[in-house]
Amino acid sequence: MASINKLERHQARMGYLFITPTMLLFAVFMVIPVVMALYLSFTNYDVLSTNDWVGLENYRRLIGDTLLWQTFVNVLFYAVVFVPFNILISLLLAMLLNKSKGGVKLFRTFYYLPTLTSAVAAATVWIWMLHPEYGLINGMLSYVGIAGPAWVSQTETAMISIILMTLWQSVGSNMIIYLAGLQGVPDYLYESARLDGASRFACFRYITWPQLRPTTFLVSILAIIGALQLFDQAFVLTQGGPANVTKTPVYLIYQQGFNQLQMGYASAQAFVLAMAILIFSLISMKLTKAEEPIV
Amino acid sequence: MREMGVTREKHISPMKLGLPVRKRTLNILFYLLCSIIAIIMFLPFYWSLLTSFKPDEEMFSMPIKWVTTNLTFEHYLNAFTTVPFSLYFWNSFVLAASGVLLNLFFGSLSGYAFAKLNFKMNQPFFRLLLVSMMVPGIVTMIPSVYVLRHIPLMGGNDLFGSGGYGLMNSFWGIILPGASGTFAVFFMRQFFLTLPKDMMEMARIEGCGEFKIFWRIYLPLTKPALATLGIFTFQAGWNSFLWPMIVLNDPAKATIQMGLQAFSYNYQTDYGPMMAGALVAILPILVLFLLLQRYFIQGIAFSGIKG
Amino acid sequence: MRKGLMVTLVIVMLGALLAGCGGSNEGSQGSEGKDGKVQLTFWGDWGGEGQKQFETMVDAFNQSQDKIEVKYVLQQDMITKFLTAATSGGSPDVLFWDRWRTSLYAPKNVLRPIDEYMTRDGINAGDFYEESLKELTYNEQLYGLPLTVDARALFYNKKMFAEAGLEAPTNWDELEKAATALTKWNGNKLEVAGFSMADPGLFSMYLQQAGGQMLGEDGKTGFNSEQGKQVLKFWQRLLNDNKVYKVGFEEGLGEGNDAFVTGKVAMLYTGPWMMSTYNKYGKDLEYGIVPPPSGPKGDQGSVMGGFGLVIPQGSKHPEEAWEFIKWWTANKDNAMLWAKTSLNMPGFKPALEDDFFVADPLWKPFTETLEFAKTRPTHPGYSVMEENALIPSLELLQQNKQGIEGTLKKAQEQGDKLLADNAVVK
Repeated sequence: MASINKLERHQARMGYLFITPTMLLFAVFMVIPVVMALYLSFTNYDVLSTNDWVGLENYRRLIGDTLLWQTFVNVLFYAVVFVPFNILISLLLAMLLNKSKGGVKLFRTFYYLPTLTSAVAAATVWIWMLHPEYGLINGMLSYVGIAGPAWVSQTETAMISIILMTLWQSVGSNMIIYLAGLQGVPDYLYESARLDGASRFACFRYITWPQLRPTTFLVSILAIIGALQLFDQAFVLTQGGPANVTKTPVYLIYQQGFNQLQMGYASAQAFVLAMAILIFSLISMKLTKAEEPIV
Repeated sequence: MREMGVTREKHISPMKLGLPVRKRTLNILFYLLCSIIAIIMFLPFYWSLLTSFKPDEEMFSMPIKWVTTNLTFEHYLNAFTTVPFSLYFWNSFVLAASGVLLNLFFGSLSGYAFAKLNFKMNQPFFRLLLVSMMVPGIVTMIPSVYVLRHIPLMGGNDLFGSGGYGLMNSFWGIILPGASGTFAVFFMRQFFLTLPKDMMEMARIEGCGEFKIFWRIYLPLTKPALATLGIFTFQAGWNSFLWPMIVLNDPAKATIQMGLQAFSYNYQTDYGPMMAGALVAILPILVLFLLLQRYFIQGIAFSGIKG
Repeated sequence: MRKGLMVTLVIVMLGALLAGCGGSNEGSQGSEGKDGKVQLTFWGDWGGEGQKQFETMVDAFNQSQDKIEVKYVLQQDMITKFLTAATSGGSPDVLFWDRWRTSLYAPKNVLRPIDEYMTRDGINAGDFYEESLKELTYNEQLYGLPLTVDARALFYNKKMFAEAGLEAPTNWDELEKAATALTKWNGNKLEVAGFSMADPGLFSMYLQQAGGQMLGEDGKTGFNSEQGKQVLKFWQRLLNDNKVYKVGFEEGLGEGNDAFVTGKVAMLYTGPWMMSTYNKYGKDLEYGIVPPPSGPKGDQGSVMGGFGLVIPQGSKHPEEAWEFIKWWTANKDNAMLWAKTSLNMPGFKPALEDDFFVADPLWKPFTETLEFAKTRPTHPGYSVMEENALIPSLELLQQNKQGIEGTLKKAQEQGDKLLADNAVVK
């Protein structure tokens, strides 16, 4: 008993030792700035001259900020569509290319290319594909007799256009994460399952998916954070228009802080956004039971 | 491993009749599907490639012209004369490569601790890391500059962090804040979680030290994850723009992304040289991606411990 | 083998780091140079060709005298860099300045007023457009001099006009007729738009032409008026009755307005900055320019914009910085050198009276337009009001999702709130 305790204590000491460099850097370069920003959210900080305590004034102003809430609704819609599709498509791609066939490496490289392609090039080609008159997509729709919308410029479809482009942009890197995750699934599990006559779907349902749970947790948390903090990817396509439907909270925070010099108010907006991300993440964790066995 | 898979299939396939035909159709379907997706993924990249070789007057057309016979290298020449690429490449390489090394090491070290070791603050600390990712970086940026400027005893600062410039205008000001990124820790933790614990207990009984268990037994099993993280951190470091621009003042320290922004002025952009520069700039990431793919081999993690 | 590679990599990097480290502050402050010259740092966000144009001017200045040495430093995201520099003590001496930002920054005491220099050196304010100086003024103090001026005018495709036997329009009615005549539809596919209506942000220009005001005297929005309604009626006529445009038509057509180069748009409002683009990309394009057509009561209107040069408070050498600004912006020869190098219209009026501008049929309409063009109101919340309240509401109108009354009312309500929220609090 005593030796087990000793072993545990030793383990704990080593644990703290292992995380020390990370936590030190984290404390200096993350905790301090975040705490400072939190403090600033209670001031009228303008970066240049004033820094006076205003109490809850910024948070009070926030409640009546209809535009801010509209941007929250925008990214919430975006996240609800984007996150599941992102996970689904990247997992499918990873399983498709988790083979040792000729050409697979080439395909992986091609699927990863969107993350490397310059944002301007991506936006240019996507806008072309979505163009009302010359676009590929409306061209195909017209074959079946449908007059397609002006995707990027119409209020109904602008956000869908952004979802399409950002999915295209991000599934490649998540595919790579899933590929790495799939390498960790032991072969012998499949072999014994196959001996028992399990179908392909059963293999996926009872081996692959549970084994990938930590990977899925990683991918989904990153996707949620990325989705709710959406900014430049949306901006290159629609510049926030039409009619504010693609403006995002980070866009407003940037505008308020850096263009309007109301960094105190921008910080308050940012912390409300962080809270929203946290709540969204917790809900999604509950729904998918992603982290259940671990945390 | 790969050879094994091939031989196994060879043994199995003749056993059932009709399988070869089905297999061939499946194969054709596989390549067809993969190719269609590949085209969609490739199209914008191809456009930027084409744009970088097209003369100015042909650059814009609607609908987009996907073939051109009129190729020119002038944009590449222009890009290379406007931007000192070799210097910027070197600067970016130093920043990105040190980011990779530090993140792989510290990220896996603490990721391992969070995934496999028991200590009281394990969960609270890890959750703290996660939550910190949720605060938008743009509001912590100015406080971060403040912190960087007031690091004690650096860049002419006294013990209390005033008097000098701290880590501003120094590569350390970029490397240190990103040396053990939350992303790297989170990423590695999730991969260590998938590994079984029994190897650890066995090694302990044999009297192995904790660091040795991590370094010799577990770390080699995460090669696919390390390769992935390597690509991601390299790419993040290579592509980062805003923070280096804020921290660095000396033009001789500028990075490749700062160089690529040099083609815009007065509401206009020189798309040709910009595309040329951007294409040259992604070559290192592409090469790294191709190199690291060899670590993506099914089952590598468990080849040692099967039985 | 791989280990060896790693070790070499680490060593190389450590070496490079040591070489590149040590938080020095070079480039962040002007100081005495080796040869006793005062070193000035000049920040701007123009790269590429723009950087070359700036450097031409900087070199010319450095050669014109032997006391001051200016260095241009490209700051890709200048405002962000300036804000962080202001908090960390590395301010430049001269800033290339988007003039409309003055009303935001001047109240924060980060810019240096130049009135005393102006009177001391006898610089005549009348040599500059009053509107452009207004944009650089806060609380009756002047914070910089205009380097460039611009305004939008009407570009039209000469070939299309000749084929249709039309003359360039001078008022709204003629504009409407020409646009209608030049538009070509193929079924429900728009092939040529007679007139570009891609940018609802040009509302303020139409409003001037109708004789209206964006902001009232009380610092609130003033566009929900008879004149505002007139503008929107005009837009609806063009969009719905004459169908001269389709929302989203120019989306992604090259450099924003590129449909004009490819002959898919017959007329559009844009500024002199596009001329070099059109000359570069539009081999077969023949275009003419006229001042913006006048509104129903004959009012003319265009929005004046442009850049200036300012001195941050953090500069240690304001006198020398002023010398540089004065040399560049308030001297006819230098202003002409700048104009010819960059193909921008200088802010200095005597330079604009040069034959280079007056005799050129493409420049002349702009000099005419500048005579009546107005700058944007100097309310610090004006640009957010336009961007977040007015334009979104106008976009709904353009897509026929909102009527005229509702559009203006909604824009007014939200706009007034944004103006109040973003007013200067002292």
